[in-house]
Amino acid sequence: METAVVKVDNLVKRYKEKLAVDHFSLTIREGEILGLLGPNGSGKTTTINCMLSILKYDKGDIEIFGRKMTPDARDIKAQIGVVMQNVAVIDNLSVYENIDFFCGLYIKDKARRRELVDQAVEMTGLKDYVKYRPKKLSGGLLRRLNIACGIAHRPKLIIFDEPTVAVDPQSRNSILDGIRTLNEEGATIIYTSHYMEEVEELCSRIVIMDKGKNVAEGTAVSLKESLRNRETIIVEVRELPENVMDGLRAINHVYSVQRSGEKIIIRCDGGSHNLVHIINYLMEQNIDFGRVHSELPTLNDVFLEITGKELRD
Amino acid sequence: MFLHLLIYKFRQILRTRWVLGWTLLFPLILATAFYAGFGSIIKEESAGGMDPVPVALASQDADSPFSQMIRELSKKDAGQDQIFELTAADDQQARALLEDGRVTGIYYDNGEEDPGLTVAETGMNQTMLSEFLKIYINNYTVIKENAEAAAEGAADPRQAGRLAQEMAEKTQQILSEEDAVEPVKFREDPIAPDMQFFFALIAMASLFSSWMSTIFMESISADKSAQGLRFECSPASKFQAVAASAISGIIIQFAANLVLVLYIEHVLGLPFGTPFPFVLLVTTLGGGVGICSGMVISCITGSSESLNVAIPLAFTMICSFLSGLMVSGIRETIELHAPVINRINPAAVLSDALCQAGTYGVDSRYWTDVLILVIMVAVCLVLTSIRLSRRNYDNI
Repeated sequence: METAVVKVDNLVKRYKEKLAVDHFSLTIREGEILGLLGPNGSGKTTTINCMLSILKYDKGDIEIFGRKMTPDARDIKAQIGVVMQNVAVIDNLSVYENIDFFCGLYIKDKARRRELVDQAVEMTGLKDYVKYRPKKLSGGLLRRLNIACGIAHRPKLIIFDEPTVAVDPQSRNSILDGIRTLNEEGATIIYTSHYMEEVEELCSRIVIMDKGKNVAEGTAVSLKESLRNRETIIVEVRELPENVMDGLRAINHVYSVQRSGEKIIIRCDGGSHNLVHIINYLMEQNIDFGRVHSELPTLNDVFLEITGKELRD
Repeated sequence: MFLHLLIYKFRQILRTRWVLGWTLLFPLILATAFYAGFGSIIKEESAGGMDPVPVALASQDADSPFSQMIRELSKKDAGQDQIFELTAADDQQARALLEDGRVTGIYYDNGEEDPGLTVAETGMNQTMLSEFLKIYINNYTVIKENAEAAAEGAADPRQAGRLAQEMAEKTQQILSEEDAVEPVKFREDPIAPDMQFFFALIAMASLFSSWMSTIFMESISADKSAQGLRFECSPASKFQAVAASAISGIIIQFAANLVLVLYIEHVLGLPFGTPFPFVLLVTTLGGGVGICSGMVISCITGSSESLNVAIPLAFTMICSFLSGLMVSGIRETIELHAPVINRINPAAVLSDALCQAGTYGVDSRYWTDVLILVIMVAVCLVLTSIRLSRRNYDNI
């Protein structure tokens, strides 16, 4: 049985009257990349800060590496790396000095530290910028520096809190590759984001949060398989008589037909060749239609079905 | 770990230009401006020793011992330093002269009672007039009693032995009452009164270091910045970080004060009148108070960036103002009416220590000021430690 690296049990955190984390439970196993997915304000960062014992919480138990996490648990903190949502670097230090400074909070041996800092510089692709001050770096490079400062000491557990916010696609891919490499080298990763594509691409398991609650949990495939909706077909059409709408509803596996402007959205709960069946039916009815396309379900659909709202709302 | 933190705190501050500007350059510029304003006056006063103090004598008995003594000490060719610049006047004229600022004080003498003194404000010259009068009255009392006893003894030869004994005892008793007879001892070449502006300036420069602390504290507290959050996620000791910050800040402030003191004394040529180590001791403690008070301020202000700038600035300027940076004699006025303010205002304590040492030499008052500064540093460190002992927050 794989070891639980993080165990959160029944966590409750209130900000005065507002319930930020609502009886949240979670177990993260060694070697996992766990995605914590939820819209802004869903309680992801609050949960992370409670896990790190930076925030006081009202109720619940948090164990990391099998031991209760407390604000003074230095030996536990020594094995954790944190990459903040906000860039946390010192403006008056160079790229190299920033990484060295934060690495030095964990690693006392100077030679070992130098080695680790060099590795972090290499991994994040900052070799050409080591003498630059953070203010001279682009947004993407700054994010990479932020990551380098959090991972240089080679922690066993790394928490990435929305590390790709406001990052260009090239840098984003580089960051995601770096995270995969760290995981391959043995680090357990917690990755919070409101970008479902990233989470889906990167994470071996996903926890969906909303209003501080764990609303769904599983792999991307298992979460999508839990949906009734397996395929959404969108047809551009100017006019569609009501009897044709009813005809579409009668097609096998179609369970919902809705009009949205000049589009008809048809949802299917399974089956194959649904697109062919629908096009054939429309042609039989002499309906003029424009573009037709099919979409497979996404995590946003999972979120929509569970909470009744879009992930990006 | 401590050394690692210390090195990086140094680098962090030495590369923060605006802090260095306020800590080092601004005091140098202000010192130059002060020098342009009254540097030549200070130099003249320092070179020529003490100028005669202008004083009015409203005497009803021109032949009284006191009036004669004042006249004697006002002569330019008396074979000794001229102490007073005398204007003989009646009561009304003397008051007019005092109000116009043409005399520092008015001595009243009716030839029967003890002479009196009226001054319009506080200052070194006024203190000198007051001390002179005190010494005169005490000495005169001793001489008069001795003379009366001698006269009594002469009239009755049988009592002569007993009276001689009593006279000797009484004289000894009066002379042993330290406060009554011991005059204030000025240094041989006391500093010019206007040097107080430069002392207040050094106090201001020292307190500006409170800004450095807000930068330090920001980078180690999760509720203040992202860097602070990163720091608190690490296993690093917060107390080591505070100690490293305080030491690096004090060393930087020490260097800045050293430059300022050397600039004032050797470039501008204005003497402090105190051995260099004593000046440095006080300025270093002043820097310590600045750094440590900045830490307390930072603990109080929380995460507000504007308050972290505004409060240290306001704290520094208010303390400096009350220590006499902008208005001459304000510290002395506070000393008369609310001395406790001067004891708790670090700028006033620092100015007072330098002023005392420069005027009277390194005496108990100087060491009292040093002790007060040490207590201030200790209190600030204890408050900061209590506040920083927590490592988790209700909200960040």
